Amino acid sequence: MKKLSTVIQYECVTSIKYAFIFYLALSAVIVTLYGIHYILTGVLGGGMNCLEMNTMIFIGILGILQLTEEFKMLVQNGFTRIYFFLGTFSRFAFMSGVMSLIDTIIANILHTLTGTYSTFFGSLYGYGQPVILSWFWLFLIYMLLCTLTFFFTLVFRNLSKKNAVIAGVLLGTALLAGISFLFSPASPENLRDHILKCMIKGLGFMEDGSIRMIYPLSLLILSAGFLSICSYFIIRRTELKV
Amino acid sequence: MKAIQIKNITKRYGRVTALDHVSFSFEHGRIYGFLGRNGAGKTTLINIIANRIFADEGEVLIDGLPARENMEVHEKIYCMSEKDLYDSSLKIKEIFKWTSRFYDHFQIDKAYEIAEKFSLDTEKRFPALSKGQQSIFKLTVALALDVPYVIFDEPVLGLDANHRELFYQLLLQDYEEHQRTIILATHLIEEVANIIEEVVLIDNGKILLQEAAEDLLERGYCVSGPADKVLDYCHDKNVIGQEELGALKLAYILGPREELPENSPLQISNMNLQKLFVKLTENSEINFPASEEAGNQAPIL
Repeated sequence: MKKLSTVIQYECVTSIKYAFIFYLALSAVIVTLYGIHYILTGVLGGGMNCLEMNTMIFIGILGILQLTEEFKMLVQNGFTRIYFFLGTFSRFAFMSGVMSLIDTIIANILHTLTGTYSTFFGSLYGYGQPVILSWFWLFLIYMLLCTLTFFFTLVFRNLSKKNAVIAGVLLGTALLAGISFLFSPASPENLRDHILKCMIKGLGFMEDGSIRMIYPLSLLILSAGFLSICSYFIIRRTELKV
Repeated sequence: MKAIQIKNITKRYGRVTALDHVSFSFEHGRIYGFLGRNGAGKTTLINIIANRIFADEGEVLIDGLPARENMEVHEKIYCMSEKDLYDSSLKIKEIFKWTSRFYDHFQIDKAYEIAEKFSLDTEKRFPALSKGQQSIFKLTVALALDVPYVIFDEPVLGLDANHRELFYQLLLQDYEEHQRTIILATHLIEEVANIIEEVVLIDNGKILLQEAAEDLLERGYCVSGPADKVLDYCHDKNVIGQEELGALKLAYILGPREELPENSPLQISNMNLQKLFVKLTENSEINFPASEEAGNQAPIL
């Protein structure tokens, strides 16, 4: 357990500096843009609602890079794949937790100060929900993104170049074709309605107009959990590229 | 059993068989030269021992424990690799710090001592170091880690002659202080010839021989003289290579030496390890004598 806790510490401590650099750069951009907007219009706030979106991109990249950098380091130091997986999962949870907390605080402060800034959660579910719920929801969104990009990186890394291209094209085509078919007149109306209803319900919007957060939260937990389990089964057989 | 036991290891990459049913052992407390040509299978086997890649068949045991996905062998083995596998965002001193937390037996003070001897800048990040300095950093970690089995894969890559000497000196000093198994996989055979106690020779994914370096050098020799006389002498001997220089013929032989009669036009001279290596591996299609340690895969000459 001591070694595992060291791996978890390593994963968390070495990743925090990236978050620090990210927020430093982001806050500089936000302050500059708000400043320019204030000088030009005399109004505070410029309708920028991109904080969470930027973090999502950052978190997605974190998931992709995890395999190239961390796997090498831990394998070099004699750790097994299960340790790498647990370290990775801890890093994702830590980074998602910290960054969603920072984003929730900053976004809510900006919303309160400017009145024009819309938080990602608020623009979907309104501002009547408890802040802790919006943080937890954002945390799960970030976790899902990490695990999703990590999973796809693992899958594509384990394929040959040719197979990776074929898989990418097939996946993209299937996705586009599926969406196109769903919204085309050719698709059965019942099926389309059913899928859309499920998706809306999955987001927590009930037919009677109420919001039930248990659905999106459960869906996010299940999805992130499923991707993590799938990733583990791939990691177990993953070899260092030599 | 205190050893790294390699049992019937096979590794294939598509149609290429990198390792073909390899079986042998690295005993505890010896310095091994793990030699082979490029693509012979050295690094593949090292990576399997270090659990970086998996064998298709067979298993590796370290002190009787399976090496595959087993944290129980974590404090038993360390592999310094030719490939750069360190976190590129960390400074050298930070990697030292993390290594000391990863391993109970990492001597951080010793690491700084060695780094100082090599003038290694511990404030720099790993990618900012020159190739030679990167090798120095990697061997510093390996030397400062007090584990029973240490593998050095091309340890002196990019090092100048002074630093190579210093490394060999530190290695021997460390070995004198406490015996452990040191495995040196290198192309600079003559440099390690005086250090290694035992030679493991791999070629085309198979172990050609495993033998004490001293015995091997004793068995390998060169006979030179008129072609017909040399041919007569070589009859029924294990000839591993031949060269002709006009009317003069040289034959490289592996086996017991036969005294030459007085007034013989032939001359016998010793072969160095590098020459032996070259002759053994350039004729790898020839079958070579099996040594006891090499197990059953070493064919007979």
